[in-house]
Amino acid sequence: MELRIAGLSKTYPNGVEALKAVDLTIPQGMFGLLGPNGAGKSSLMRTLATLQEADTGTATLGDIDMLTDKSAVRRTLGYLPQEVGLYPKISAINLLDHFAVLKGITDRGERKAVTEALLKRTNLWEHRKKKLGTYSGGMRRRFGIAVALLGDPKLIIVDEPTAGLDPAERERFHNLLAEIGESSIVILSTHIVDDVSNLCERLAVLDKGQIVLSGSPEELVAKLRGRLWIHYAKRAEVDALKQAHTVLSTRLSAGRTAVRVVAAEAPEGFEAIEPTLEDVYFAATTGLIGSRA
Amino acid sequence: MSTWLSIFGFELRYYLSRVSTHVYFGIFFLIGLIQIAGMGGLFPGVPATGFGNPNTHIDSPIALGMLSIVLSLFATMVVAAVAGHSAQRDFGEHMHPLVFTTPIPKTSLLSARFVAAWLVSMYACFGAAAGMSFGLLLPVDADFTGSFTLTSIIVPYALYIGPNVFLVAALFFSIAGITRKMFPNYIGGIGLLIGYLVASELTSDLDNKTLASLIDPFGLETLSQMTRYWTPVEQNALQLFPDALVLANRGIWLAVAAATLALGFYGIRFAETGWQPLSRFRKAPSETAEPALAADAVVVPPASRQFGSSAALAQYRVLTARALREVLGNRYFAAIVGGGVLLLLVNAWNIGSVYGTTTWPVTYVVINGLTGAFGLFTIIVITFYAGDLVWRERDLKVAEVVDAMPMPTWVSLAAKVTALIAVVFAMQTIILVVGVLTQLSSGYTHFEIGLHLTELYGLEMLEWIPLALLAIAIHTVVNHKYVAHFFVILFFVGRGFRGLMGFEHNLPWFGSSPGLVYSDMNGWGSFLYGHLVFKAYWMAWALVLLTLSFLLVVRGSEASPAVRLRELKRRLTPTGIGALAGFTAAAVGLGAFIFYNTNIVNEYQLAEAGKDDAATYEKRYKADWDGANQPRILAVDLAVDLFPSTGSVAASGELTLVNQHDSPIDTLFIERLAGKHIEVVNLDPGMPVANVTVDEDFGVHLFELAEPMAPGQQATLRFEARRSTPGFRNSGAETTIVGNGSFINSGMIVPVLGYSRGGELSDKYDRLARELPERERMADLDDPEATQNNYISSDADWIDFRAVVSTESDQTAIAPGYLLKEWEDGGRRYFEYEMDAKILHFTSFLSARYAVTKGDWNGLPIEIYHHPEHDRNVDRMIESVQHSLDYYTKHYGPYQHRQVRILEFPRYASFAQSFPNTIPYSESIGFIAKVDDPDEDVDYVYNVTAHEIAHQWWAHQIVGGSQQGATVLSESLSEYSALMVMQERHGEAHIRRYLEYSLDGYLRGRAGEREKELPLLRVENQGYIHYQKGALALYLLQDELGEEVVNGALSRLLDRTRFSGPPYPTSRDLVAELTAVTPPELSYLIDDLFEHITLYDNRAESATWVKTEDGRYAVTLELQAKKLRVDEDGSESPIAMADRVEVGVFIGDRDHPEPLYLAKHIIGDSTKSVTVLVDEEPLFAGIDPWHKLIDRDSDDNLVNASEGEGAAPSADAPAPAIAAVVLDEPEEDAQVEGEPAEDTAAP
Repeated sequence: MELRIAGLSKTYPNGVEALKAVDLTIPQGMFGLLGPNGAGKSSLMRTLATLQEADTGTATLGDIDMLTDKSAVRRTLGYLPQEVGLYPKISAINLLDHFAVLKGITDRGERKAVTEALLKRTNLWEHRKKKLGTYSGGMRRRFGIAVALLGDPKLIIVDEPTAGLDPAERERFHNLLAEIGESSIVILSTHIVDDVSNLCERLAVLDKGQIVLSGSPEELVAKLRGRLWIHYAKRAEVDALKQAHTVLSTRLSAGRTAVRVVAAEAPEGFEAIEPTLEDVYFAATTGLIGSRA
Repeated sequence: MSTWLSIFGFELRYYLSRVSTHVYFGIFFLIGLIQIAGMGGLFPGVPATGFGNPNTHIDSPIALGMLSIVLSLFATMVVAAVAGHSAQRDFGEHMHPLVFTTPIPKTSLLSARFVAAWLVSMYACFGAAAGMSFGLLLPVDADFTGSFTLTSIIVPYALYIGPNVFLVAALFFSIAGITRKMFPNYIGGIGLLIGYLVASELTSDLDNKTLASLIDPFGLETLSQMTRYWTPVEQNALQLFPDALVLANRGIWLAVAAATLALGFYGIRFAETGWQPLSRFRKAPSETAEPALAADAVVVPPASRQFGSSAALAQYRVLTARALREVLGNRYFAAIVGGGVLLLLVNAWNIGSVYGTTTWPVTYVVINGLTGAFGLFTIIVITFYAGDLVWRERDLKVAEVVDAMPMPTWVSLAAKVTALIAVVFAMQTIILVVGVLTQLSSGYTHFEIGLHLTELYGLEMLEWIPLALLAIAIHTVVNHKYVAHFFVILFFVGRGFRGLMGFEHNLPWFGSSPGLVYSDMNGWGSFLYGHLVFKAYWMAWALVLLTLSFLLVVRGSEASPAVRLRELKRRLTPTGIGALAGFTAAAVGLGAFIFYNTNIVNEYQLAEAGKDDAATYEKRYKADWDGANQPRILAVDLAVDLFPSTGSVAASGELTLVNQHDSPIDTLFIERLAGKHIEVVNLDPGMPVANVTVDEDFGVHLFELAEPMAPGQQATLRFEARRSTPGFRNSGAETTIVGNGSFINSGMIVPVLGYSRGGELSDKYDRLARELPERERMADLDDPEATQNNYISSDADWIDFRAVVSTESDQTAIAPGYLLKEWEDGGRRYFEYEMDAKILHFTSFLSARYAVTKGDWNGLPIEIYHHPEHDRNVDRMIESVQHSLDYYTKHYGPYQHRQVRILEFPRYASFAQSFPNTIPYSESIGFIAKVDDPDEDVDYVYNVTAHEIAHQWWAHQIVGGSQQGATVLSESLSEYSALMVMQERHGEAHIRRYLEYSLDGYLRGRAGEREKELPLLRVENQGYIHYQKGALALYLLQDELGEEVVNGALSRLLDRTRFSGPPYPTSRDLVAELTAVTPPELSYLIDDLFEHITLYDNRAESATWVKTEDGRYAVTLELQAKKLRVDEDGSESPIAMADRVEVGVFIGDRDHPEPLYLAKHIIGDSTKSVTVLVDEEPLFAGIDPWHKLIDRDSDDNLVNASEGEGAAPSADAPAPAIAAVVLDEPEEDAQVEGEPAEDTAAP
C-alpha cells in the first residue's frame, strides 16, 4: 500500500499558501517530512489526518480517496498531533481504554488486551494508574503514540514528535518509532534532521509549501557529494567569504567558524568534506539543490 | 510616584484602546436608554408608565438611582472581565516572568492596575447614566418627568455603584491574581449574587429586615428598606442620601472590599508558582522516575473493530460518560451547585411565608419555592457548561486526536447534549432531596413522590431541555466561545426586557409558554394542555437547532465559512435533510396549531387593546345610558349547569324586574357578557319588544319596548346562555370552570341591567391617551345620587334568591341558600338551593369533589367543604367560626342565616370571599397554613375566617353606597371584628404582631399609590387603606374608648341601617356613631384617623436611669414627637400635637419585651423628656412601643436604657385614663411617685 499525493494545494483564508501543488508518494515504512517552521508540514499532516480540507489535488491511500472518504481514512489512521493535551485528571489506562472505544474496539476483553500491550510497549505500564496531568512531556508523547497505535493503523502520522524533548527522551521515542515503522506507513514530520537520518528510509523536504527534494537519505546525500567544501575561517573573514562563495552554512567550531560552501570545484583554502543529510537539508531549503516552482 | 503614574497611565491607555471597553459602555448606554424610553412612552404602542407608578417621575432620584444600581449589578460581568483580566493577563499571556523581574515594587504595580481597572469598570457603569440622561433628552412624555437634578445621578454613583464596583473589582482582582485563572471569578460573582438573593429572601419576614439590610453586598436591599415607605411625592423630591443602616451597610462592605484587596495583594505572588496556602496539607506529586525501555518489544494482539451503529452507540456512551465526568468533577460546578443549595436552604426555611407564618410544605409549595430559587443556578450551569462542553476538547488540546477518531460526527455532539441534559437532570435531584427534607423537617409526611418526580423530572425538564439545546446550538454554530457566551447571556437577559418593549405573544420567544399552575385540588387543570403544546413546539425548534448544529459543527482544525459550508453539503445526507425537514415541519405545524388556538379559537388581545375596548364602550354608551332609568331586579331564580370536565357552563334563569322609578321606561339596556365563547340562546325581557339592537362587541342589547314599562310594573326577564372554553390561550388558562374546584359568581353568568361604570378605565394616563375626560375613581362621599346603588351591584338591592345547580356525578355543587332538594338525572347531580333572607345580588356557584367536616354553634350547622387532604386547619376554622359567631352576635346583633359554609377552591386566586351563608376560601391561604405557635406566628387562618364571618354583618347586613368610603363599612369593620376575635383567642401580643404587618402594609401601600391617597372616610376601594389603615384606626379607637364603647356604636349603626337601602348608608354614618361615643378630649382621634391622613414621627432618643433613694429606678426618656398631616397630593405639613401616646419601660428582649411600666402620657411636639419610676433595672424603653399610632418609622421607637448621672428626677404623671383603658399587670405595679410632675405636654 502506498500513499500518493498529487497536486495538493491549500491556501488559507488569510492568503497564506500553505501547500503548493504537492506531489509525493510515500511507501510503507518510515517516511520523514523535513522542513523549517512554517513550511507547511502541519498543514500537510492535518490534511492527511482528515482535519483539514485541500483546495485542489488528490491524496489516495491504497484505494481510499483520502480527501473525500474521510471516515475510511480515520479507520486506518493513527495520528499524533504536534501539540497534544490530554484530560489531566484521568489515568492513562482509563483514557487509553476510552480512545480504544472511539477507535472501534468495542469488545471489552480485546480492548483490555490491546491497551495493556500498548502501555507496555510504550513503557507506560508502570504508570498506567497515574493521572495524565502528572506525566512528563516525553511520557505524554509516548502515550500519544499508544493512542495512535490503537486499532492497528496502516497510516501513522506523527507531527513534530520530538520537539522540546531532552536527548534521553528523544532517544527512547526514536526507538519506539523505529519499531512501528515496520508494518505501516509512518510519516514523521520534523524540523530536526537527526530524527530523520536516524529513522527514515525515505524523506522529503518541504519548504514554503513545496516539496523541494525527496528520496532516500543516500540518494539525497549523493546529490551534494563532491560539491561540498569546508574552510575554518576567522570571524572577520566570514563576511568576505559569504560575498565570494555560495555559502551553505557557517558554524562556530572551537573558536573558529566552519564555513561550508557548495561549488563544482574546491575554492582556494577549502577542502573537501563528505556531505551529511543536514547539508542536504540546508542546500534544499536555501534553493541550492532540488526543484521548486 | 512617577513610576506608579506611568503604570497607571499605561493601564488606562491599554483599556481605553480596547474596543471591548467601549462596547461595555455602549451596552449600558443602550440599556439605560431603553429603560428610560420604555418608561417614558417612546416605544410605539407602549404608553409611558412612570417608574413603577405613574406618579413617580422617570427622572426622579429613586428611578435614576435604582436603575443605575440594578444595571451596575449586571456590570458585575464587566468588572469580572476587566479586574480579572487586569490581575491575570500576565499569567494568561505567559508574560509574568518578564513583568516580575522588573524592579517595580509589587504594591505599586498591583495598586496602579487595580485603580485603573476600577476606573475603567466605573466608566462602563457610567454608560447607564449617560444612556438614561440621553433618553431624557428625547421627547419622552413630559407628564412623567420633571425631577431631574445632577445630584440624582451623583448620589447613587458615589454611594452605591462606586463602592460596589470597588468590592466586585477587589474580589475579582484578588481571585484572578491568586489563582491565575479567570474562571474562578465567575464563582466569586455567584457568591455575591447569593448574598443579594439571600438578603432579598430574608426581607419577607419583618423581623429580619435589619439583618437583610446589612448582608446585601450591593446595598440594594438596604436602599429598598430605606425608601419602602416613600410616597410618589417623596420619591420625586427626596435624594437617596443615606440613613444609618445604609451607612452601616456601606461601611461593612467597604471594609470587606478593603480586606479582600489586602489579601489579594498579599496573595498575588511575583513568582513562577502562585500562592498555595494549602500546599503543606497536600501530598507533593511524586517524581515520575523514567523506567528503562523494555528490551524486547511487546506484541500487540489483534483486535476486531466495529464501525457500525453498535460501535457508534458504544462511542456515544463513553463520550457521554466522559463529558458528564468533566462537568460533575469540575470544582466550579460544585461551587455553583453549592451556592444553589445554600439558597435552596434559605428558601426552604422561609417557604410559603405569609405574615411571617409559614404554610405546610405541601408538594407544590415546596417545588414552586425551590425550583424558583434554583432556576437561576440551572441557567448559570446551562450557560457555562454548554460552552465548556462544546469547547472541552479544544481547550484541552485533544481535539485533533478525537476528531481523527473513526466515529460518526454526530456522536460527539450528541454525547455533549446528553451530558448537559443529564447534569440538569441530576440537579433536579438536589431539589427533590431538599424538598423532601423540607417536608420531613416540618413534620409533613404526606409525600407525593409521583408529583415530585413529574414536576421535577418531567415538567421542569421540558423547560430546561430546549434551553440546553439552544445554548449548545449557539455555541456550535457561532463557534466562538466568548461571542457565543455573549449571545446565550443576551438571550436570558433579553427575556427580562421583553415586557418593557411590549412583546406579549409567546410564539416568537424561545422557551416561553402560557404558564402552569398546580393546585392540590385540580392538579395542573386546564393549564397543562396549552403548556405541553408550547413545550412540544419549542422542543421541535430545539431539534431543528440541534440538527443545524450537527450540520455545522466544526470537526478538524478549520472553521472558515467556506470549509463549513463544504462540510455542510457533505453532511446533508438524506437522513440529515429528512431530520431537518421533519423537525422544521413539526415546529411550523405546531406553531400554526398554537396560533390557531391562541388567536383564532381564542381571542388574543394585547393589554393595550383591551383598554381601547373599554374606552370604546364608554364612548359609545356613557353619554346616553349612564344613570338612565332601568328596572331593578327583585328576585333571581337560576339554573346553573356546570360541566367541570369540559370547562363549560350553561346558565338560564328568570329575573323579576320592577320599574321603581316615577317615570316609564321605554328602552331596556341589558348587557350580556361579551366574548367569543358565550352563546346567548335566549334573552327575553318578558315584555313586548318593538325593536332590538344587539352590539356583539360588548354584548349590549337595547330592547325598545312596544309599551313603556310603567312605574311599579313588574316583568320577568328570561335568559339562557352557554359559556365554553375551547383550545388554549397565549397566557393563563381557564380557572373558573375546572375539573375539580369550579368557582363562578353571578356576575359571570347573569345579564346586567344598565350601563356599567365598573368597566371604565380609571388610570388617568390611559384615559388621556384615549381622549376620555378625567374622572374620579369613585363618586363623592356626599353625592346623594351615589347612595341609590350599593357598591356590589348597580341593578339590584336586596333580592330573593333561588337556584338549581347541577354538576357531574362525583361532585357536589353549592350556591348560597339552603339545600331544599338533591337528585340525580342523566348521570348528573342536581342541587336546589333557596335563600330565606334578603341578600345582595352577588352569588357564587362552586363544584368539586369535597370532603365535608361539620361542626356547630349552638345548634347552627357549620360545614367546611374541603379537599380531602386539606384537613389540617379545618378544626381551627370551625373554632374561629364559632368564636366569631359568639362575638358578633353578642356585640353586633343576630346572624341572619341558619348555617355557615366554607368552601375550598383552587389556588388560582388567593382570597376568601363572603357570600350569603357561603364563604369560598382559596386553598392557598388557609388550608395549608402552618400555625404552630400563636406566640410566634400570626394565626391568619383564624383571622381570615373571622374576617369573612364578620362580612355576614359588614356587607351582608349593611352595605355602603357606591361611593367613597363604602369599603370602610365592609372591609375595615370586618378587619376590626376579626382583630377583636383574634385578641380574645390569642391575646394582645398576637394582635401587636398582626398590626406590625398592618402598619408596614399601609405605609408600603401608600408608597405605591397610583392616584392619590385618601382619608379613611373617603377610601376608594384602596386595600391598604380599608384593610391595613382601617385595622390600625379602629384598633386604636377601641384602645382609647374601650372595646365595649366602640362595639356599642357599631351595634347602633347596624340597628339603624340593617338591610337598608336605597339610599345606602355611607362612612359618615359610621363616623357619626363613633363621634357620639367619643369624649371631646379625644375628638382629635376621629379627625386624625377618619377625616384626614395623619402620620406620626415619634422617636426615642435616649433612656437613662438613676437609682432613687428608696432603691427604685427613675428612667428619663428623651423623646421627639411629631404629627403630620398629608394632603391628597401627598405634601406633608406638621401640625400641633398633644396626643395620648404610650410610654413604656422594659426588661426581657426586643422580641419578647416585658413591661415594667406602660402607660399613656400626653405627648406634644414640644415634649422633650418623660420620667417614670420602675422597680427593676430597665433594659430598654421607648415611646409608642406597641406601634399603636401610625408612625412613619417604627424602628426608632425603642432605645436601650443606660445608667445616667445625677440625682433622680421626679416622675411625670401618665395621662388620666379615659373610658376603660385596661392595663396589663406590670403596668399596674408601676406606681407614679411623688407630686404631680410639671406638665410637660404642650397644648
